[in-house]
Amino acid sequence: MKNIIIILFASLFSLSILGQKMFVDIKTTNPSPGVGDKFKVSYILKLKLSGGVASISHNGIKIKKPNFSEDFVIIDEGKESSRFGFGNMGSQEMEIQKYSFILQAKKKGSFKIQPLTFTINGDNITSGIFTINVGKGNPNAKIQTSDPNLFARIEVNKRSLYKGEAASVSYKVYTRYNGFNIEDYDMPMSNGFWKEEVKSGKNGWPQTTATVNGQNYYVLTLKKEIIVPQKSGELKLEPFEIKAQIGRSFFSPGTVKDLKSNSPTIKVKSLPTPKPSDFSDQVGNNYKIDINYSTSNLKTNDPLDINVTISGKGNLKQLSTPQLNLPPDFEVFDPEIKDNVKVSSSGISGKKTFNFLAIPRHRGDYNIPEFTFTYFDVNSKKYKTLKAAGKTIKVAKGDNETESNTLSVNNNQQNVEILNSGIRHIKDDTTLYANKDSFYGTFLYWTLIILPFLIVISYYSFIVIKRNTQSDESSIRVKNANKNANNQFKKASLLLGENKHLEFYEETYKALTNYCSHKLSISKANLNKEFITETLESKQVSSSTIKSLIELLNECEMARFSPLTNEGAEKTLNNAISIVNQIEQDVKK
Amino acid sequence: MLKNNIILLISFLFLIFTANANNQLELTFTEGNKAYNETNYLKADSLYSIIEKEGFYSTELFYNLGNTNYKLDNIPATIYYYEKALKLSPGNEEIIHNLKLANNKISDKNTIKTSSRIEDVIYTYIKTSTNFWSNTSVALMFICCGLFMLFIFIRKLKLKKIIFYSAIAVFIIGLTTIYLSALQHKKLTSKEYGIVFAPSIDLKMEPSDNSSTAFILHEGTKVKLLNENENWYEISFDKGQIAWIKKEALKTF
Repeated sequence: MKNIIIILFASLFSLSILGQKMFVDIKTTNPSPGVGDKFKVSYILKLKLSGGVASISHNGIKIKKPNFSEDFVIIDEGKESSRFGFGNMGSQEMEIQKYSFILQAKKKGSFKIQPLTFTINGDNITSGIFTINVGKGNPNAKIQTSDPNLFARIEVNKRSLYKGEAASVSYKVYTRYNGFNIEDYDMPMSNGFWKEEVKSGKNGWPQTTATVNGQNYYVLTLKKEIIVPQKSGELKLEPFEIKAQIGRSFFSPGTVKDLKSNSPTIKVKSLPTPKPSDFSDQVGNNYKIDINYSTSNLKTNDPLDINVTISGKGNLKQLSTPQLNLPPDFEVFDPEIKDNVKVSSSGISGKKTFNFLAIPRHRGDYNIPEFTFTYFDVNSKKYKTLKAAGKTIKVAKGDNETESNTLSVNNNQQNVEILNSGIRHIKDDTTLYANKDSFYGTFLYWTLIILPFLIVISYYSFIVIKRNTQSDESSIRVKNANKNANNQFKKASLLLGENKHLEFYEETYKALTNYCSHKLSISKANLNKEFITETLESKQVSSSTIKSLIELLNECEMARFSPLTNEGAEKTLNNAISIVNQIEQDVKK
Repeated sequence: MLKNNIILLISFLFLIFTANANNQLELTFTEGNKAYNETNYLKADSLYSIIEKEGFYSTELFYNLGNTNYKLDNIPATIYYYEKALKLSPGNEEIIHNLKLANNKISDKNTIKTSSRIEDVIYTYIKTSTNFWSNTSVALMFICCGLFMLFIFIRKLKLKKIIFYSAIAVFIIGLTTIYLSALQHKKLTSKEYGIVFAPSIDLKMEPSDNSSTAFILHEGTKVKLLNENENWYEISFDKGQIAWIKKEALKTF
């Protein structure tokens, strides 16, 4: 159609073109943009009119473009509009063709733009050279360094995750080219993630459209994945690379382009501490548990099926076998695991069933404790513990129990070790002691230890000294007893010479009793014959001496009432002297 | 009779005295246990620490502090408190068990064995408040001397004999309590070991920063103290490996 019109016009106006002048006008929306700013540069081929209606015909216009690519990003380019043929009556100029570029400034500086040349009907019409001064611009403006018509992107639905929380990742290619074909692509390996691909269906992911920065793009999704970070910190998703053909058509093979995607960073938060001891490492929400016992009455060595089902939204694929706290008398085999876990672009969800086979080896009533499952709830950001009630299992005696006893013993030992792996519980009661300064070892302590002994020793020595002085007096008396007695005897014999018999006996009696009192340390109050006899006996004085002493004392007492003769008196005195001597000798022994 | 009464009276007075002072803190201890049972380990730890800061001690307090620190994953402190508890109650099976588990979590192998000495065995039976034995020994010595005085005074032979023998008995018991207070004094004041609290620390050949490094120890390791100066301890580790460590890297007990 176009060609027909051109031919039509060419035949109509071929003559009128002569004498008319063409030139190129340059217009820009912003002659001094900043870095990152987008602006439009238009080259307009114009015809100067000399008057009247003008028109021009041509067989197509060829354009030789200047090279912008070093300093600018070409976001879009093309013929904007071309009005040819008719000029307005009033205007002096007529636009023949307009070719525009939308450019984005890459860097600061002054740039000379080389001329653009239109070739029309064999004539080259060249534009002038013009300069664009690029200023500092907005530092945050995103510069599209690559082809704006074709780019690859990794899209993550969450940029901040808990360790173990699932996120969805899409690998996408955005394009504005029509003849577009992906030859090859290379998906990277990123460290620190557990990955599971989301199944796309038979025909792959559908092609969609999207608008980016006001431009419409076709979006091809290459792959979708669920990622689960296995460690905390800033984790990077490695970029993917694609090789794409563009501009392919029936006639041309097009050009091949290599692209590299962005590389998003994900912030992985570690789970709050302290972690519960029975934490299952599951992170997600809406978990549910269910536990089923096949029977509650059985015989020894009969199988007991225990089904544990855990469902929820979270990484169930990584869920490890839960721990059943069965009594040690049950032999538990590794469970049969059935999983029905769906991986979709919204995450991982489903359920996992563990079918345990337990065989009781001993009869008895066993209380199976409640089953607990602890996960981290991402919605409430807290650990949650789910509980399933325990059960009492009655085991009756089976047919061949004795045989299995050995097995159960072995099993027992293993279980004891497992139970031992936690720390023992705290103590409930205590008696606290004050951490006072130690009394032991201080000067006061040793003083107080020694002091009583000092008191006792000093007290004792005081008593001993006192006693010694007392005994000194009495020993003097003992020593002088004989002397005093002899003195008294002399006095008695003098009295006898004067014939004073009464006084004589009195003196003799006194001499004897005084002697006994002093010699034997007997107080005057205790001085009687019985005591004297007793004391003398204890001092081993011969009984004949004692007897004669007592007789003599009796004689003296008697004589005081019935005086005797001189001879008798003299004999008494001699007796007394001899007895005193006798006692003196006996006591000395 | 009189003697028995006096001993009873003295012990009773001590008991009343110590019990009154500790009532409040024993409540704090119970609160700590409650927090522990509710798995609020941080709260339990702070409650137990209050008691420790008030200057009170007991095996159970150190044991529970060890447990909370274990739950809070603070391994050097765990080991430190278990060792302290074990010092007060040597041979306690539960403490040894928990200490073993804590020691599995540290990087250096603990080779220093806590050998059980006769002293330790005796100490487990005589554990009581700090100055109980020293006070008792002083009291017994006074009683003993009182009896000797009586012995001197009394004339009746039979009574004299009884008093003499009981005085000797009280004297021997008194000497024993002096020994016990010496033992207790040693237990409470001696610092024989240390636990490394620094995550990783260079041990030097000489007590100086410029000295060359002998070896490196990590947190939770138990070392035996040999010597000290102003800023350094000389320690031995793993039979005969002797080096100097900065005082701030250790907690001694």
